[in-house]
Amino acid sequence: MTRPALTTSASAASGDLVAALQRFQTRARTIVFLSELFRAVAIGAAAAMMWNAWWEIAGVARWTALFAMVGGAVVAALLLTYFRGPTLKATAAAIDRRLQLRDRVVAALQVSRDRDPVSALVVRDAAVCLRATTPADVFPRASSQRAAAGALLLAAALLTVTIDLPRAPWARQPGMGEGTTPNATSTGAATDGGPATSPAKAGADVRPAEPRSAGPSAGQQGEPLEATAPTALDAATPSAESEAAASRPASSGSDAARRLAPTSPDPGSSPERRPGGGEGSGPGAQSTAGTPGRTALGGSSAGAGGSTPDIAGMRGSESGGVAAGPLVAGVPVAFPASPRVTQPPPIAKVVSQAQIDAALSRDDIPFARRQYVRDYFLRLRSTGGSR
Amino acid sequence: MTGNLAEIESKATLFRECFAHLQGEIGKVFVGQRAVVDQLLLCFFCQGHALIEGAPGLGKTLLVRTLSDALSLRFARIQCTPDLMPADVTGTNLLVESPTGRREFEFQRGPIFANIVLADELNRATPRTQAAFLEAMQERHVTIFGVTHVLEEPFSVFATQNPIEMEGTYPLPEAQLDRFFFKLRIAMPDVSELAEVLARTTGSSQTRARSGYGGATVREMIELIKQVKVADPALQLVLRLVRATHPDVEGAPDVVKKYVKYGASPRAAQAMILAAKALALLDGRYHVAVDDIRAVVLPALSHRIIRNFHGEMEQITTTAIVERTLAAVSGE
Repeated sequence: MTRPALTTSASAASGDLVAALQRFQTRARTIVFLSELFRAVAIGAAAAMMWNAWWEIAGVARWTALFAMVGGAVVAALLLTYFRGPTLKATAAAIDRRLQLRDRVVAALQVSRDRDPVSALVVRDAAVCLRATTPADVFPRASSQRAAAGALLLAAALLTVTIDLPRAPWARQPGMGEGTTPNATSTGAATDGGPATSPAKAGADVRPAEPRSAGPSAGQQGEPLEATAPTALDAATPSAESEAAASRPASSGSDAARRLAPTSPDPGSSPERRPGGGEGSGPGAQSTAGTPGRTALGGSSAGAGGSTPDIAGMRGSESGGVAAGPLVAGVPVAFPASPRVTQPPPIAKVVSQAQIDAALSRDDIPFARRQYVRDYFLRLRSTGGSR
Repeated sequence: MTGNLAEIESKATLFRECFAHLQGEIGKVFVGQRAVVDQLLLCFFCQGHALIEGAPGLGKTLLVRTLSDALSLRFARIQCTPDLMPADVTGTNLLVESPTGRREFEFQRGPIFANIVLADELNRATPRTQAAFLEAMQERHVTIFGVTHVLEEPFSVFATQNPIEMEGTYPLPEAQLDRFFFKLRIAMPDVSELAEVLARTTGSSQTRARSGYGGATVREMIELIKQVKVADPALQLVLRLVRATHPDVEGAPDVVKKYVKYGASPRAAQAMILAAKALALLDGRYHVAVDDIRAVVLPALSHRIIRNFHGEMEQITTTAIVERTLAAVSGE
């Protein structure tokens, strides 16, 4: 009759001990999780910032990158806690160490399954000690350098995502500063011996190739950069169009410069763009038209400040679609006609600050290109829409 | 369970009271040396044997005698000399004449048949006589003329030896040294203790220890000590420590590899665990902690480590070796 009572009492005591220890273990695991989380968030935020610096390469939006990195960090912290978190025995040892219990809890956990009276006394002794304290006392949540580093890096990552910071020269996309197009790259390298670092410089880099093309729209060598940069941009747009309207009569270059949006290849729908097409029909324009990045850039710049279909055209160029105007089997493809826009807006309307800001605030324009687009519009505004 | 728990707790309380009583009674007669007294008591309650080493006149014999006085147990003293024979220790068969006139052999018990045996200056006895103690100390019985006689518990041998005068002595062999649970070193008392010694011993009144607990109580305490649990960290420390004292074991500290010839035996581990169990009970715990092990490492290990030639030449003490080994094993 005595034996079952003994067993029941002992098992109840050991059950209480294990239950109490599990509370401490949960607390310890939480602390470990937080510690690992801070470290993982620090790493994830740093990675997100680095990813953000090159995010156009993978075509992933900044917020997506941040969420992915930090989310991955949280998952990693969870996994680390699960696999490397303190066991019940380690928790007991930590309690003994921190409360200086002289191995009471470890011994109690060790003999918790034994049924002799001395083991019961050991368990009871440990349970009394555990009852006198709380998990928070044993495992306090203290701020650490790791937490500070994690918070700082996360804040920095949020800042870089929220604020449009100008990209460092080394981080710029080849299509932006160094010239995406084979023409721009090759001519830039041949002329300057190095990559261009600004849109204006990019335009300057293109120019040495233009004498070869000898097109009327191309800027002359030695011409100021402010004047040549838009030329280099919009040289792509009409030239793409020019293949579709090769037989159209040429008109003045200034008219072509005012028509930024390459909306319709149909000459009937956009009579004003025909001169541009004529301008692009020159050899220099052709050489630029064969460069998808350059063509897309010209289209996107105008579209961003102008109308939605043009932005859609830019998107097409981003994804390498037909609208990018690349060479397809050696023939440049014209931008598709926009169903909603039949008449491109005048430059004066495009260059309004609100529209610029509205266009730039959207994620439609890649981060790396915003500065370029901003510079472009500002330059247009300063010149009143003309070169 | 409740009844058992209360019984265990009452025994533990009794053990603490008994220990405190012995400390007090010994303290009345024997001045100072609290650590040595505590270790001697631990050794006794763990049913070990102690080798007490100290210069002449430091009270080695008095200490053991006072312990026996404080306990209502049989005490025997054997003054070891070179002509001491084993039969003088264990006893022998004597031809006696019965009242009917018939002559027959009768076993006459030697002084080893006591609860507390003081082997004074054990190193002066011949190896043959020293060997007579071996069986008694380890097996707790003696065999005479083919008949085995069991020794009554509690049984402890407390041997003394003088480390200074070594002429005409027979140093104890390692096998016999290993049988001693603890080796206790009695140091010279400081000025205040010496003054107290003079005041107590040169006055008209001589204080004697009052006897208290008997053999039955001591046997209960001995059983209780054995029931104490050992926490895994403490056990691991003992295992690592004992292994680390062997120079041929991988991971042995440099001090061991350099100065030690032979390391501690498993008896050392047994001694440390048992003594730590008693210490834990004294502390009100029913489990051995790492600190308990640390407290008993020196008396349990120092006499079980045999130095090599370099150690002896450089006069590296075994105590220093044990301390450095403990520090290395503990990661300090």
